[in-house]
Amino acid sequence: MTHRGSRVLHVGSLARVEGEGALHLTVDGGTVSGAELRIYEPPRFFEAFLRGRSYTEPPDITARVCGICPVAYQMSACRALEDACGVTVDGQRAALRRLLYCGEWIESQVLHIYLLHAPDFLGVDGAVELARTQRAHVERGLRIKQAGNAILEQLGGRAIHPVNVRLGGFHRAPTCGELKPLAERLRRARDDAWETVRWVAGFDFPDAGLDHALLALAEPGRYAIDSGTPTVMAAPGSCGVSAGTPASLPIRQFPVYAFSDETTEHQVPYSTALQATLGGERYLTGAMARFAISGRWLSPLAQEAAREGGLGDPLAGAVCRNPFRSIVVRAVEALYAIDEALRIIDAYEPPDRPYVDVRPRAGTGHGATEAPRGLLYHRYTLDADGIVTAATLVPPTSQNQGAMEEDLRRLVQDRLDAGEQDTDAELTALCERGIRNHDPCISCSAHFLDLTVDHVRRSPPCP
Amino acid sequence: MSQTPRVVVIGVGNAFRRDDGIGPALVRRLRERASVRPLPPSVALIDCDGETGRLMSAWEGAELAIVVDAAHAHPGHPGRVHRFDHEGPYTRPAATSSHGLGLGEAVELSDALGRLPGKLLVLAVEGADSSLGTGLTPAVAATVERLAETVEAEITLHRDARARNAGRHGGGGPRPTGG
Repeated sequence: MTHRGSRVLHVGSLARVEGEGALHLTVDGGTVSGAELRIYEPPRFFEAFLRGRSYTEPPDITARVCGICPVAYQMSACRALEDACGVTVDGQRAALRRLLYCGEWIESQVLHIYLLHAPDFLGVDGAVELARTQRAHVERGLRIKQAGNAILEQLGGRAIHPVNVRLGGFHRAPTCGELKPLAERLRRARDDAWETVRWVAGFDFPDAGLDHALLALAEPGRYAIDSGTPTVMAAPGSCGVSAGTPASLPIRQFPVYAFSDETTEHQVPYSTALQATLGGERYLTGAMARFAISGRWLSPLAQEAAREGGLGDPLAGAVCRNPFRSIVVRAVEALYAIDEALRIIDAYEPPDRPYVDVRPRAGTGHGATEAPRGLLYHRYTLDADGIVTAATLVPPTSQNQGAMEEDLRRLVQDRLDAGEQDTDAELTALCERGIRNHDPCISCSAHFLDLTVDHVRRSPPCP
Repeated sequence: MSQTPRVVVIGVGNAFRRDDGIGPALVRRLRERASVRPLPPSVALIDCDGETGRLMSAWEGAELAIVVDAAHAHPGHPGRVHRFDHEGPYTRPAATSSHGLGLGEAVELSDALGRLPGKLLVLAVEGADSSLGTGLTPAVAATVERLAETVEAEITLHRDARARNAGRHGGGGPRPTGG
C-alpha cells in the first residue's frame, strides 16, 4: 500500500520461515518508523499446562513445544529439574546427551542452510526450484540431515519426539555396537559438511552489521551446547565501533540462576511472544553469538573450515557480525556437530547405569542449553512432592525478536538512505531475507495444510 | 530401520493445537486397533510434525504412503474429509499458500528428486479450532474411527492389488499376507 510518501508493508505469512509469523513495516517519508515482527509462540500455554504435573513430565511435554528442536527443550528441562533436585548428570550419561544434541544440531542447521536460506543467495524461489536446478546440492544436504536424524533415531527412539531421555540420563544406554553404524554415516556426512562450508562460503554477501549484544553459553574447553555459563559480548555501538566490526569485544558472565534478573521479558501489543532485553538492551542469541563467544573451542577441523569459509581465525577471536554470513557460521557448526558426535562415539563406554536417581525436593531449578537457534532457558519450581508449581520457558526466537526488528529497520533504512527506489515487493523480499538470516523458529504452532479448494485437483470428499 | 516399509501411514500435526492433532490421533487409534487385529510388518505407522525433510524420509521408498493432516478451507466445514490421490508426476495446485515448508513442498521436493512414494494418498480433515490446547473438537473427533477404517481398507486394497500383480507375474513377489 502506498499513501503519499508513507508506505506500509505487511507480510501476512512469511515464506521459508518455520511456522507462523507476520511482518509489519512502516516507512514514513524517508524514515522507517516501525518494524514489527509478529510471532505466535506458545510457551505461555505450556507454562500453564505444566503447573500441577509431576516433576518427571516436563522433558516429554516440552519436547512437543517445537517439532524442530525437541531435544533442546528436553535438555533444558532436564537440566533445570535436575538442578532443582540437586543432581548432576555427568560422565558417559552427559556425553550421550551431548551426542543426541549434536544430532539435532546437524538436522536443524542443515535444514535451514539448504531448504530455507540458500535459495536467497542463488536467485531461486525456494527449495523445490533449487532441487530442480542444483539437484546435487540438495541431495547432499538431505544426506547430512539424515545422518543427524540417524543419531536422533538411535538415542531418541522416535525422531520427532525422543522418548528415550529421562531425568538423570536415559531409559536405556546404547551398546558400543549400536553406535558403530552411526560413525560410518557420520564420517561420510563430515565430508559432505566440508563441501557445504565451501559451497555457502562462495555466495555473495551484502554488507551488513549487527549492533546488538551477543548472548551465548560458554564452557571452557569445548563449544557450549548442552551446558555452560551465560556470557554476553558487548554491542559494537556501546564500545564506539561500527556494527560490522569483526573484533571481539568485552564479555561478562552471569550464572544461569540469574537469568531472570539479567533479562527482562515484556509484552509487545502486536505479538504473542514476549520480547526479552538484557540490561534494558536488545540482544542476539544463536549461531553468530556462539561463534563469537566460543569459536576458539571449535574442533581443529571446524576452525579450519571457519578460516577457509572466510570467517577469520576463531583462535584469534574472530567475530562475524554480518547476518547474511550466518549461513557460513551454521555450516561450520554443522561440521563441528558431526566432528563432535564422532569424537563422542569414539570415546564411548556404556555407563554402569543409564540414569542416576533424581528424587524430588522443594525448590527452584534453572537450566540453559544452546538450541540450534540460540539459548533456551527453563525454570521450574517444585513442591516437596515433586509437583511443578511454576514453570518458565524462554525460547531463543523471542529473545531475538527485538534484534531482528532492528536489523529489518536498519536494512530498509540503509536502502532508503542510499536513494534506492525499491518497490514494495522488493522491500518485502529484502525483509524476508533479513528475517531468514536469523532462522527464527516460530514453528511451535500448527502446520495446517492450507487448502484453496477451488484450485486443487481432488477426488470428491469421502462419504 | 532395517527394511523400508512398503506402506507408511503418516499422521501429521501437533497434538497441542487441538484439531491440528488429528494426524497423531489417527495414528494412535490405528495402533490401538492393531493391538487387536495386527497390521502386517510391512506397514509402518509414523507421527510427524510435517517438517519437509522428515516427511520425505518417512515416505521415501514406500509403495504406498497415506498422509493424514489437518486442513483449513474457506469456507470451512469442520470434520469434512478431503481426499487427494496422487500417482505419477505431480502438478502443483494453482494457488496453495503455505508458510514455511510443509506437505505441499515436501511433495514437490520429493518429486523433483525422484523420491515420491509409488502412490501417495492424502486425507485432509477440516478443523474447527487450532488454538493452543489438547483434544479434538467433536466434529473432528467423530472422524477418527471412520478414517481408521478408510486407512485399513486402503492398506487391504493395496495388498490385494499387489498380490494379484504378483500372481500375474508368476507369483514371484512377496507373500501378500504377513509381511
